[in-house]
Amino acid sequence: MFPMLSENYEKFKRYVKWLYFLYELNTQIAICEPWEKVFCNVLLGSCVSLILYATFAYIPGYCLSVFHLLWPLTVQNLTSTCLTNSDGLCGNESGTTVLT
Amino acid sequence: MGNFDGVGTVLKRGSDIENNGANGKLPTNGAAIEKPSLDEPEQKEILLNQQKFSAPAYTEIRTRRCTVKAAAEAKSPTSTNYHPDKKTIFNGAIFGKHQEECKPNQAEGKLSPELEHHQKTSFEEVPLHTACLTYLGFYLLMILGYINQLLFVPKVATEKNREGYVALYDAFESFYSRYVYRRVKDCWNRPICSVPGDELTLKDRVTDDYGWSFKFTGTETRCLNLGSYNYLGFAAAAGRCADESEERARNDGLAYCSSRCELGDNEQLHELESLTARYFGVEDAINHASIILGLRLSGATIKVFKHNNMRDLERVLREGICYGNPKKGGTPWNKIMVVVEGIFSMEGSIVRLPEIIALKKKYKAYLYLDEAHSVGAMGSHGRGVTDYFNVNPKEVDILMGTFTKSFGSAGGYLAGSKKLIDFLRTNSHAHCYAGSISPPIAQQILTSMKTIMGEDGSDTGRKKILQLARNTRYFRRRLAQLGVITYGHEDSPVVPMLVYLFSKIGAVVRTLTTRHIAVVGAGFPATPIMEGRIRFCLSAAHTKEQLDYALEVIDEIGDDLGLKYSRKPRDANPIEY
Repeated sequence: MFPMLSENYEKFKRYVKWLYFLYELNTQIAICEPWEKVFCNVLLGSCVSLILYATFAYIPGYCLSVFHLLWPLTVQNLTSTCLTNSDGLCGNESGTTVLT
Repeated sequence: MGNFDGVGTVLKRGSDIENNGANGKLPTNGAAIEKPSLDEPEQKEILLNQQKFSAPAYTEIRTRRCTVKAAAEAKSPTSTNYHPDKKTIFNGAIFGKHQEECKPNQAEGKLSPELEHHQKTSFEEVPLHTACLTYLGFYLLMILGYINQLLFVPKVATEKNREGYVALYDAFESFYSRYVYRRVKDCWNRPICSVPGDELTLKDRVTDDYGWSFKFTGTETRCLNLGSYNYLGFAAAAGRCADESEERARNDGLAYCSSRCELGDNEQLHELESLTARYFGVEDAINHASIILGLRLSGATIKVFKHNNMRDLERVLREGICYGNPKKGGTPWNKIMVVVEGIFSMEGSIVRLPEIIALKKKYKAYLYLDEAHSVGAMGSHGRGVTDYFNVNPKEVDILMGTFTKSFGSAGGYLAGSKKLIDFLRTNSHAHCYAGSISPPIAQQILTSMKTIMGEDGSDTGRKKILQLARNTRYFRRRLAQLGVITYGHEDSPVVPMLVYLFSKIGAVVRTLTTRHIAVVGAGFPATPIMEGRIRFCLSAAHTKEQLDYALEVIDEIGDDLGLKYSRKPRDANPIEY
């Protein structure tokens, strides 16, 4: 069982590396020198993180509803106490939201 | 590009070699060499190969199927026994078995030319996400290039004390070649050290400073040759053509050192010219060692029409006739000449000859057909596109072509009516000033032309033409089945496979080299900026095993690098040869 796990782990690592390689190839970073790669990755990473931070900081309500949509099992309140939620959101068992 | 630190590993026939970084260092762990009892020369070869494959330009892309395939291969033998490294001796071409059943390379003629052209040509649209990525990628490369230019000094010659003179380097061209082309420069101008027949030997070179300079590693790679314009397989160092050329060189020397008008004229060249005229079915032909006359030398006004678009051509013709010469106040033009190519070498499409001839007759224009690639490669007798469409070659005013591609020699020819050729003989620059063709080269043309026509007594020529047609159809259909986008006509032996992105051109060429296949990549400015392509040139010298091997490798690479852009439905049935 243990060798199978390690084999799967190796496969997973190779898969991630392959995905990274595809990303490099498609954005044409692959043919650049190492310092250019670092530069571009840092640039892209900072842009992406900025967008994510802005999303979470300024529109938390929508973020929560998207989160609940994707992971319906982690809905907080399944009872009627959800009606007293300050944001005005209500979550029920199936994970859909209703704005009141 | 090859900075796969830890990503790239090379599978070398069973032994796994871990790649440590991209600076040409030999791997430190001894896990690569499994058997300790290897003798000296083999160990040296392995070391050299490791050095070759561990340099950045040659790091093989780890294909996902590699490991699976290696495991499968260990259990059962492979389906194709072919690998370019295996030293099998192929003397000349080996022909397929069922020669009588395949149809010749000819336009069918059942539908109208327009409908047939639309049916057989495919120019699939680029997927939107790829187009966006290509543009964004180029912007990124330009920005990086500008930053590079600001911060670092390029390793090129700089001008000194040139104030007041025209600059030595053009601004955009030098920028592009230094900061975009230079990154993948190792894929072009690769030195070879064997005759480029169906297989070829590449000299390996590596670059330590990302394309500014190259060094030879001392090793060579034997590759399947899908890049040479060797359509009928006459590029061989052995065989009848080579023997006769050698004999001729011994008897007549290597050069006449004089032009045709003075002392360079001889019987052999007269024989060559009359043979060329007979080959094409025209009255007369003239040939030169170099034809330098161009449209610019003639001083004509040039108007462009859209690629293979008959309505656009008609529009341009009508405008020319209606409005006349604007520089002379609207008087009619003396002559209107339509200049087209037989096979467009970048697109792989064939000119729509019957329709152009109809238009030419309607508007009383002249037609100049440049058959550089198509002579020998198209038509059931190898005479070019006039043969392919069953059109009388006397209807084309000027037929021009080269002997470098299908005939395996050098030089070119012009064929047409006697009046035209006599005019050219008296008035052309090359006839008076350029040296005449060297005797062994002319002999090679003579022998190969006679072979194609069948006048040498064997049916080698006919077999080669049929073999090329069969190879073309098989290869194109298999590629369409794989799901890659190819451009062009079904019957043209030039097969461009679209990869769109610049880095993908580099990746594909390099990976194919490590898998022992030599191809040519083409990008901007030879092609439109969006359409980077890999061009396969098929040959009558390729056997089915070689094509199968190539297609297997292309399949794997297509999966790994994401080249299968086609959205057309794929034929599920296995394709017969």
